[in-house]
Amino acid sequence: MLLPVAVAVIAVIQVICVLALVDQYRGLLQIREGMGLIDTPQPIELAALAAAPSPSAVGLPAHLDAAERLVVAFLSTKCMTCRTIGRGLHGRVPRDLWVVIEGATEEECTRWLDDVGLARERVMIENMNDGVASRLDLSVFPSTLVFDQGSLTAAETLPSSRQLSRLLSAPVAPPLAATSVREKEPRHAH
Amino acid sequence: MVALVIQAAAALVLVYAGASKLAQPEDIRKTIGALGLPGSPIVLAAALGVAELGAAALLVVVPASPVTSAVVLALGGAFAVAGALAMTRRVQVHCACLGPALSGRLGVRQLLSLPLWIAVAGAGVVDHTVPLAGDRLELLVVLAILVTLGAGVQLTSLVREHRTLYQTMDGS
Repeated sequence: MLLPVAVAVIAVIQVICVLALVDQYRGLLQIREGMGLIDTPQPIELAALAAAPSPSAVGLPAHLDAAERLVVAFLSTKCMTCRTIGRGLHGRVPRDLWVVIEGATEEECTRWLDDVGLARERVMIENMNDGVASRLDLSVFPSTLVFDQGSLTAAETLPSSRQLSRLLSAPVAPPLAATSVREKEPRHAH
Repeated sequence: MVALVIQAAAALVLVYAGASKLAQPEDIRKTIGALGLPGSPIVLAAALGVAELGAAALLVVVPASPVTSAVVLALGGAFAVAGALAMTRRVQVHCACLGPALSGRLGVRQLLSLPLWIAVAGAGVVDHTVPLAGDRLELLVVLAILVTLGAGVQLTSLVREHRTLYQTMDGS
């Protein structure tokens, strides 16, 4: 009789412990939210957004203009979060994604791609001082440009791989209205 | 059999409610404090959690006992009184009935739930048969496991969220 009672008591105690663990993790999440340490993407204000240009107009390959929805991820060889996102692609860039690797030299970018194990399909390498990003005054990495129906509709930071997955599965948006001030200081999102 | 189902379902809810109050006591303490009840909210909150767990154990182990019916009725009555107090004193507070995740405004809902409590208390009085008489403690363990599994589902998504955010902050 004692053993079943003991087992029942222990079972109830472990329910309390598991629920206390749930409470602790909820508390951690609230602390992160309070400190702003969550992975919500922040919009980036680019002058180019006003014109809603096509991918080819900003220097991307012309065949991307035909894409219903295109997400262009800008990753820097100097950024740890970029490396994490690169690895999170598991070797292949999805169909609706185009990756632009920013580095000091082509060799550095190639080495970076080998390190994260990413295939070259749908990947573009460019010099950080003379590429699509610098011409757009885009100096936040990692970041994304979203083109819907051939027009630029959004620019935002890219804090994590799951935010990239969210972007890739989001519905196609209509073309944007005007925007204002452009980025000044180079910075990394993380 | 109907009585067994009613009692098992009520016991499941009471295990979750009681364990939540002991594991995450802040909300129920706030509710008790807001109602202005005599005594320490910390002690009352803990006592309520223990009472709910005790009621769950009684419902499973000795469902036909008048003590079980009395405890269940007392709990239901206490919640109904709390709801009535909240309404008459115009206190707007969450009931914290089932932990922070499943909570509603304290008030008319507790009064409307009183017939359910009476039905649970009466199920044992009306039906004196005790199915699975030799396995009642095992049934309590099964209910505890079911509540754990439910809490485990909540925990899985929270841990995943925590790991993602931690990796994002860590840049690794």
